[in-house]
Amino acid sequence: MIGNLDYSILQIIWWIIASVVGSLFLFLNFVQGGQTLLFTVPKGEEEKTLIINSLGRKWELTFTTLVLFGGALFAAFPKFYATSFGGAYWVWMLILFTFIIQAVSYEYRKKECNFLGAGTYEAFLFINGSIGILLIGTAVGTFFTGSSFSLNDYNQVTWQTPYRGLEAARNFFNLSMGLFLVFNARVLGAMYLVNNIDHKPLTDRCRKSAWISFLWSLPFLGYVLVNLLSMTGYAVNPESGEVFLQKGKYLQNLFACPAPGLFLFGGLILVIYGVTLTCFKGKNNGIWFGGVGTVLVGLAVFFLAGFNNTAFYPSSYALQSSLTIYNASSSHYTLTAMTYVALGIPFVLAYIAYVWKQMNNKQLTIAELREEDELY
Amino acid sequence: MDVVLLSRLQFATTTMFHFLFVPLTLGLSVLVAFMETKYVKTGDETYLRMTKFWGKLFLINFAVGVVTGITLEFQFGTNWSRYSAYVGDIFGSLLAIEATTAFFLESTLIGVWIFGWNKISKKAHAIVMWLIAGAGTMSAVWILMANGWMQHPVGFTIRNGRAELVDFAAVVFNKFAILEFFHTVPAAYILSAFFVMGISAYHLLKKQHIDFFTKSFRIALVFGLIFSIFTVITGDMHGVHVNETQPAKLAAMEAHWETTTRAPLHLFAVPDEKNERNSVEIGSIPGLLSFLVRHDFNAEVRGLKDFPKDERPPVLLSFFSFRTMVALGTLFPLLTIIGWFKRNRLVESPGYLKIMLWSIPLPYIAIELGWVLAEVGRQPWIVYGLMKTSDAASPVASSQVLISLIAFILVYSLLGAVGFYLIAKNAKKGPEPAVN
Repeated sequence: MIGNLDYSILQIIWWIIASVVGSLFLFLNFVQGGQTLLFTVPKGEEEKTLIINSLGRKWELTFTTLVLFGGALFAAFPKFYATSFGGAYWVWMLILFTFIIQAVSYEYRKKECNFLGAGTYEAFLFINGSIGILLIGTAVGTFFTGSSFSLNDYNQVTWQTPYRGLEAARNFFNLSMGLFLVFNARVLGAMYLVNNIDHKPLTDRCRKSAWISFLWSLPFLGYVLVNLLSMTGYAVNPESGEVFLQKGKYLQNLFACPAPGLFLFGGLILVIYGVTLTCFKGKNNGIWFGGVGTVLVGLAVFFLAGFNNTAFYPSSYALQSSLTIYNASSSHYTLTAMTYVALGIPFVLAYIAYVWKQMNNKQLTIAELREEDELY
Repeated sequence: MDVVLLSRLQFATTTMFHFLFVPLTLGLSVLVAFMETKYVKTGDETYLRMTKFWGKLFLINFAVGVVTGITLEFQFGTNWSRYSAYVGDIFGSLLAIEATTAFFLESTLIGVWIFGWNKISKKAHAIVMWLIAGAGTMSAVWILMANGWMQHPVGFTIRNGRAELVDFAAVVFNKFAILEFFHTVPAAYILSAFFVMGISAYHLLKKQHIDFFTKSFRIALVFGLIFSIFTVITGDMHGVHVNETQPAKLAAMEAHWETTTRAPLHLFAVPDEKNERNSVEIGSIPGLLSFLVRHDFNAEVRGLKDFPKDERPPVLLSFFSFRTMVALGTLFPLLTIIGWFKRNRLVESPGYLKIMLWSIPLPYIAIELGWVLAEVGRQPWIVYGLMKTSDAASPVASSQVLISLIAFILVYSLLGAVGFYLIAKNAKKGPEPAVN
């Protein structure tokens, strides 16, 4: 059956797959969000260790989802991969470095003679959770505001600024997208800790922190939403493939089919509900509503950028160099082969859900940490 | 320095650093899984302590391997964007499959193994380590398939200004990749065996934890013996295939200049690339090169002069990488065979134990040089016969690559220093004392 699918259907399927993985990554950013709480929420070394060990049992999920997201984009949309990574060199390099220092911080922080001391590794975790996510957010913002590049006949990118992607942070829409993701990750991180840790003084502070971070996220969310739905977008003529600017493009996309609108508003309501449960109802399960809500909002963002004849990686410098899911994708044959492989993804996800359940069947306590051989 | 050279230096630095940790992950996971299985089957607490001790070293090593792997994926885009644009249709899919099926499972299973001691049954816990070992091996399968395609591209056509996949099966069953796998993964097993034997030798020389480290040594010895012989065999098969698919690489690694029948093999030579000859040749054995690569003493072997100068790989580096790798690869079976005869009196063999202790770095050197040969020997091509390395780099400023290269060197130096220091410290510390 997959072998008979039309090329354009496969391109749509792969944008959906990439969107799902990308949105899951945004949910799993609760690890990064939790890392930014290290210097404010815990009181004393034991509470800090409790947080790091709670997050440490999930960091690999986030890390490998990032690798999977990159892999899916490389495989399905290699022209995007080559254009964005090869052009916005500094953005991707900085994101990479923030993730390198994250992973080693978990492994080395508690080890004797780790050269730099625990405080340095905690600072690394903070940098990953703040700057790393901020940069990812600004990169997502460029899906709507565009980047300054051109492509030649051989699809080779020429970036028009020496800042190599960092200039995206000068755009307040991109910056707001990044800051919203940072604060949303903090909300998710706090809600995850409430769910995963059994230590009331700490979880009480996490609940309060979730609320404060949620409030901080609102102005940035508002700015992003208002601008997204009113801005001029990068539309594509389906007949000629010509890219042109269209007023209110993303507002049109929102109502072109039910999914993006439902995902966006449904997702936001779920996040709000999760925060309410956590902060005012004393419940521990807010993370699940917040997590699912974040995935839905992520899907809405990716769908708005990629579907309904829209350039998902637009060039503000040379409109016709803009990338769409149709001109940036792999060949029909490769997408077909990859779709067969993707049939395995639900099994991988099911396995992860199983692992999560096994590992989370009991909340983490300070007493348990004292008995552990291995600590982060 | 130009951007291509800097990008190559950066990729070489990050890949070689990554591959300081990958082989031990591949091999030690199998050894730890075996030890844990022995514990589950026999109930012998020594095997449990072995699992925990070697498992701890495995975990420190694993973390650095995982972290440095993502750098390579990023760099295909950041530093080799023209390559990614041209061959991403094929290469990208292989990396994605690796990320989806193998790397993902391996990394998430690690958490279960670390924190699952009291949460899942003993048997299930041992199975988890076997799954980690299996996922690691699957990861190697896909990565080596991707590299095999760069070495010997198959199953594609040039269409729409790029290489497009037309035969996935041809890529999966690419003989080059299969031989690369059966040479690289067993080499990783040798490295792990020597790692375990070397650390065990350290403690046996100090006469501490004798039962524990004798058992560890013997398990690794059998492992090392089998795979050091296996690697020699697959190395020979690989060499024959390289002659068929990359004759310029074969000629460079043998410093073979003239196309001749009854081609000689030089045990030692100093290639003089400028004058297209060897300035020194020692121990030349007539016909041996013909025999090794064609299994016929009188067969013809193409020399470097058969190829245009700009399509020859660097001869000096290829030759010495290959010679050193082969010399070390010959030493490993010898050391393990000697070990086999000394296996019941290890403590009484301090000389042998000292050799094994100091041999720990040797498989690392052999494996790194193997990669140097594989990659440098493929030059000037990034995809053999299809795309030149000089056409593949991203259009970034050399100053930008220089800055990121310096950043990688600094960060990786710290990572490596802490990683190896922690491994050495924990290795020297020895296992937790027995409960009884």
